[in-house]
Amino acid sequence: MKTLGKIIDNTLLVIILLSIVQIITDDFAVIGSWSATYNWAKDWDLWMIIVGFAFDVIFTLEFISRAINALAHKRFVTYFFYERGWIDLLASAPLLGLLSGPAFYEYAFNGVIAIKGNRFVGNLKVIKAIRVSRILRLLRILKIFGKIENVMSKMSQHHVSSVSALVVTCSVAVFMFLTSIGFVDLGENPIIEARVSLTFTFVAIANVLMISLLYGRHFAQNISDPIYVMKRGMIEDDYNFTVKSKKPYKDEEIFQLAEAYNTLWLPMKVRIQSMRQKKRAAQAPGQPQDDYSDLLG
Amino acid sequence: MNTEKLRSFVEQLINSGAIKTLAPHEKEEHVLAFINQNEGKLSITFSSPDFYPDMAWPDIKSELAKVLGEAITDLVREQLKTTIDTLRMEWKQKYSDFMISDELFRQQLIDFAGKLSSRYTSRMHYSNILTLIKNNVIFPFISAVYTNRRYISNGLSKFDKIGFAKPEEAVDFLYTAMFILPIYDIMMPINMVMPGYGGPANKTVSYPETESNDALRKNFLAKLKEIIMTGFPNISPYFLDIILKVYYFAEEAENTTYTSKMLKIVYNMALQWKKVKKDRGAESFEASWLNVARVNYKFYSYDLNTVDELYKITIEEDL
Repeated sequence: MKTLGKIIDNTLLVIILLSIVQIITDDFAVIGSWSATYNWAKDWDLWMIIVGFAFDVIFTLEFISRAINALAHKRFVTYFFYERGWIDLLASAPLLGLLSGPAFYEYAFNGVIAIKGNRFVGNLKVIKAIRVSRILRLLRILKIFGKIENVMSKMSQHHVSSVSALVVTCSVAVFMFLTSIGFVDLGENPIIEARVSLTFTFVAIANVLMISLLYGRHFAQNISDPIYVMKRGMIEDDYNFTVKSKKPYKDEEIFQLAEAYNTLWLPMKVRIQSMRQKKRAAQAPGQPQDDYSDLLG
Repeated sequence: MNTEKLRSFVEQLINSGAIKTLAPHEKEEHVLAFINQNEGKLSITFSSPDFYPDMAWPDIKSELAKVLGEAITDLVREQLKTTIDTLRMEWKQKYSDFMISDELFRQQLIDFAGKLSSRYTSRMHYSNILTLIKNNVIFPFISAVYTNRRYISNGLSKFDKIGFAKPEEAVDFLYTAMFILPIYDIMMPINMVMPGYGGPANKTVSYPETESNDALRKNFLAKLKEIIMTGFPNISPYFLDIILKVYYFAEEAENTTYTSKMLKIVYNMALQWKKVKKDRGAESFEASWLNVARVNYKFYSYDLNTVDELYKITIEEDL
């Protein structure tokens, strides 16, 4: 069962990565007018509609199944708020309902290929706002955190992904808000729209990468690693390593705690171990009188 | 009892892929753990007609442990010879009272350590020392000590009657002296007058037990001296003094030779040393050990300045 779960998770990870690739190539195709320029890309828009729809269906189904599973185990609140169920929701159903779903419907039932999945609705202002909701697809970058398990530190994974979620969601929300009130107007030019979308995608990816790599490293070295060493030292009998201290951070609580661990707790543990060893040696049955006779003759 | 079958079983275990590359003491611990964990299956196999149908399992088990001990002792002896043969012993020339050739002293060391290694605790200690020497753990420390020229370099080169001019000399001395120290843990019968009881009493003690009893300790040290002098009849009295002072407890430690202080720290580190990868967020084994040792210096009668400087070296040299 666990193996099946892992296979599903890994497959979903690949699908998430493919969906991000799709987001990027979709925009590049518009900017470069691939479907008009290249013969091999003449059906590009159609494929993007189908692929986009497929991704949205998969992610929506993923959210629904996880939500049902969580409900069945009476842990929906935990899943939705603490295990990023809200990202699963925002990055799936709204996109399916507002963008890829209608676009696919138009193609399947009316034979209309709506460029970027929304051309069919013309220039209605409310639809422009809906189009901006494409940006929600960027939240899929955050879904990667849920799929890649940090075996080194769950705590590090949790906190780093929280910061990433905050930064990306906040950016997406501000962009959507500014667009909906008309502060940002992308007009009707799909190329400009694609450029903005692409810029936003790269900024989001760069943010997530920087937070994961740089802040993640910083968090691990200065918070989760010292805690990991102290936890092992407290739980495991033969783990007697001291925490590497950092002078610049010596006034921070975590390193003050580490200092106390290094200079009080661990030395006391080692002394107790020595005394126990001594006691065991003293209680061991005595050796025969001639035990050392071979050393004397 | 014909132990051939037990011996071949033990040989198979200690040469099995998983533990083949481990140090002898680790092999012995692994095999003992394996025997204890699989007691059920092993008792059935060894009590079958093909093995020892007439023997009870506890007797077979005890024989198995004995055969294992012998096999590991052979391994340790082999390694002892190889390692002791590589010692340079240049420092010996400075001891005018060391009336014995390098070759003979080497042979005495091999014989003495070989005899001691038949005892479980001593065998474990020798295996630890051999592992430390094989990994040359001490040299980077002593080399840094001589480069930095702080407290320890003065201690090793100037504090005692006979000092070491070069780090190689000091390291070779420390490694050589360590081969005499695993006598430390053996239990020893001591004839002494029990206070208040008048007559002589015979008590079997181990070294740590003598800490709180002056009379016991003196008696124990006298026995140690006797054992060492039997193994090394022409040993330099000054060298012997350095060895015996390693066994001094806190109140005597201040008056001991500096080399004994250093030897005590290195020897105790050797007994616990493990080749381990630096864990994330943790200091290395050496740094952790010395960091704890400098807090617990009184408890173990270590020289504070020495452990403190050695710890600082681990930081400076990233050891």
